[in-house]
Amino acid sequence: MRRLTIALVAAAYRLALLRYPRSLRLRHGRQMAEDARALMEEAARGQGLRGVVRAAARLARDLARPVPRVRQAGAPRRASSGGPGMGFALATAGRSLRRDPRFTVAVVGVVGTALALNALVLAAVNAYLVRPLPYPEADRLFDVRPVTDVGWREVGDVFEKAVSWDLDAFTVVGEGAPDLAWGAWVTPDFFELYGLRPVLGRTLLPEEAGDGAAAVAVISHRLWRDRFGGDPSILGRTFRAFTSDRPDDAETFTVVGVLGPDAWHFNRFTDVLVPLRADQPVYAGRLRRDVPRERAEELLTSLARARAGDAPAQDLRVGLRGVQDAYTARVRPRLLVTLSAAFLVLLIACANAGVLTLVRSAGRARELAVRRALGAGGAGLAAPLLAEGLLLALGAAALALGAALALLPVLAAAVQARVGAPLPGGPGALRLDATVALVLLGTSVVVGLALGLVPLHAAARATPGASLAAGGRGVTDAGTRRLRGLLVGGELALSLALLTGAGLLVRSALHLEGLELGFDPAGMEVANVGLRQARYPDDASRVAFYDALVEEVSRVPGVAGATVVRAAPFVSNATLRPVEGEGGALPHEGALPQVVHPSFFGVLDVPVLRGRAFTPEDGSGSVAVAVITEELARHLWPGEDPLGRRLRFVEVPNATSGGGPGAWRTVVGVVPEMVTSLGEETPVVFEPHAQSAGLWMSLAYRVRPGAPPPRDGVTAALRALDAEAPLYGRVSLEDAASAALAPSRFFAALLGAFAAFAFLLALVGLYAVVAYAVRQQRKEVAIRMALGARGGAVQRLFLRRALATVAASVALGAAGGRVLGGALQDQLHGVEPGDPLVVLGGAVLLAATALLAVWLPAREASRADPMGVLREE
Amino acid sequence: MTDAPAPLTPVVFHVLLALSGGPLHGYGVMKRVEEDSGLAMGPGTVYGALQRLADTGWVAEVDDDAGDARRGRAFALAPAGREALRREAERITGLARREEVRALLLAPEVRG
Repeated sequence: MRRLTIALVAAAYRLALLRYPRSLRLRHGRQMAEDARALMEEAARGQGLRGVVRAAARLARDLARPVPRVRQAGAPRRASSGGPGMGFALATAGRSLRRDPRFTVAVVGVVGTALALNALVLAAVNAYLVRPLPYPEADRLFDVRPVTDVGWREVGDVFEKAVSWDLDAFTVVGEGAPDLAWGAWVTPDFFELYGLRPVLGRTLLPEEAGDGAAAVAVISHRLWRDRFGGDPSILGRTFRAFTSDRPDDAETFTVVGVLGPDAWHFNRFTDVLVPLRADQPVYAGRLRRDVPRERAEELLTSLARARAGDAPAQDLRVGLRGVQDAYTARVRPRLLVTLSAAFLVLLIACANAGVLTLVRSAGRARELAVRRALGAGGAGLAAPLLAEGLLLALGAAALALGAALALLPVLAAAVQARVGAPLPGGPGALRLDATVALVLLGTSVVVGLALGLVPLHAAARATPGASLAAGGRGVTDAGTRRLRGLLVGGELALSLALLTGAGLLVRSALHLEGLELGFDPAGMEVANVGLRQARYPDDASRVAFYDALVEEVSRVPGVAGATVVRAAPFVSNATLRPVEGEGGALPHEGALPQVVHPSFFGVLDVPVLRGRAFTPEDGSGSVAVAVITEELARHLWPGEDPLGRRLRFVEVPNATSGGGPGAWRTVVGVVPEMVTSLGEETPVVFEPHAQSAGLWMSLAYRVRPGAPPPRDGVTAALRALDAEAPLYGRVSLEDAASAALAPSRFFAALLGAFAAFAFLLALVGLYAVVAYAVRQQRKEVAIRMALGARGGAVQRLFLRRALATVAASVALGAAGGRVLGGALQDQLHGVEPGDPLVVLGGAVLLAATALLAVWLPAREASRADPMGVLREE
Repeated sequence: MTDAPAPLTPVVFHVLLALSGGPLHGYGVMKRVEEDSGLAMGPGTVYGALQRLADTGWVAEVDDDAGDARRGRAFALAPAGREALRREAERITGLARREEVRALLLAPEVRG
């Protein structure tokens, strides 16, 4: 990515050197281009892609500056030296484009649309990957990986400011219904480090951290507005909340500050921020200016090793991970593939515009020949053509900028949902800033110069005599024909590659749509319930509560059935853990640990394939049991009966003992594969809730079809059992399932749209070239017809000529599609990059439509009246 | 040279200043100016200025056998260039001695 950008900008810069006087170019041009590249490479070593973009901006600013004079108040500058200047060239170009509005509109439209696509994608890439996260000096913010035993107060040699935190769920109680607020216990520098500023009051003070700290809280703007009605005298007010840190009784916190409405953080745990009491390891920090990253990693490693002391820790290596890298790791591949696809569309659009320009310039051979015959040479000939190209490209850029300005604010919400991560800094971050505008303008200048060079190439080859002798028809030499073939062939090949990529994504999306979920989501609603340790100290009290909850909610009018589950499908993000089976077979690398009420299988309509589901008898006193999914059973005990065999999780984290293997469980039942998240089938190990009751579970119930929404009834049923248990995050399982599939669906649609546009452009380009060739050869066709050739033979002649181009581009395009497919691999579900249906289908579709685009104008020619054509000449 | 030559343009002043420490390549000039004054020049500005200075006779291109071939030829300050730089420096220090400028430099609200 970095190298590609440098190469592109360097090439553009080399072209842009044309703006300098010839004498400077001759003497220093090569060195200037060399130094421009060196500038970017040096910046890339220091700051990566961001540095390259900055260096490119510096080059662009430099290009815009006049060559410096020696003294400040010199003689007035001479107007341009001899001959017509750039102003004349622009005026000529403008006139020429106005005379040919169809051509102008077509090129500006095609290139403008492609540039607009690129502007939108670039803005998203810029918002996520290029622009620093909205934190002060974000380039020096790092997470410590892995977290060690080194405390946040002990790293002053490494970090300017070091922080630690402990995420928590705060159940805010008091007047009204309990609210669940995501928050964290944080060290005082947390606010400064992440630039979280209060609009009311203050943030936390250094003396408020540590043991016996004051019970003060900074709350989010959202909580202030929703829970406290935006009370302007909130400072000093108190609220009570249960936390998992002190679950036994509600603690009273005094509000000392309210964050601004635009405060942004990479996670959502900012509704309640309170001082951290325990001594905690350092999680993140801002590097000191005088400590380079490698040195910081060494220092942290040696601190951690010294702390650990014993032998195994000597292999420990502590690393630093940039906050932005951490935040965007998941969205990066998808964004970059989209950017590449958008760039392909732009290439195709440019090739298309190039074809149109060539066809037009062939028609203008006479005009150019006259100019040359009158003594215009070199610059005099080139300037108006280059100016034309630049005017066209700048028109396209204006169109793209306008479209981006209009569309970006509208698209922000959709982009966040589809990309799968909130925009850093909020929806307003998706905007057209200087970086995007500069890249876009730079690209359009390159495009413009290329568009100007194409006819120049043709003009330079034509000899004035031949062009004038040929009259208005224009002649096309072999070189120009080759260039035209190359452009059209390139267009076809690129569009086939895109078509293949889009086809793969569409098949993948269809695969996900058609996936058997393994349960019936229709009418299912899910909400999270949180219990307090103090009120439910042991498993028996929790099991009793959940049993009562299932019973009460089942009785609510409109509810067809209710159950309790720990990680609701598509709602919770639980970690997969390795599982081993007794009896020696290979362990499975990752299954979902799931806890359910016995009613789960009935309510979610999960068929039990073998054995039995859980019953109320599977309690804490009886043998530990499990129900597992089919594929997992096959993996652990291939070809054997899983019922009665035992399995356990290899490693189960435990806050007190530091983790170890889980308990052995006997398999009593097998159910079909289940899709629970990520759009993938997940192996699951179900445990009965009576043997693994937790404090945080999800209530799931099915709404009777046609019944009024039973939401209030469900809430009331819970409140009757426990007035202080929060019920939050209620969603419909159908909505959650379709939201989980949304990114892949959107991505397929997006690339599909790109491919369709590119395909259409390629066909139009091909049609234009053939139609032009046919028009040029009308006379030849007419003579053949007059001599007795039949229409079919003439059509075959044109088809034969086009066949080589089409065949070559199909071969190239299929190979390109394979490459694009490989890049997409991670995004594909249930379809291979070399899927024969997609690859062959795309090739056949392209070849067939391409030949149709050739045949249509050829048929037109063969139908013309030969004598009429011949008389015209 | 006339009695009161016009001030040098800032770019030319910085380029001459960069060369006053010894010959440099164009890239070196760019980096030196950036370090000295934070001014981020591009190749067009630097080589444009160097060429004009060479035409004026203030700067000479010199062979630099030891240098990095990738950096091209080096530029050295010619005696006339050193003289022009000296005059410009005098003009600026003369300005700095003026009462208004000194008041400005000493004013606390500006200093902070």
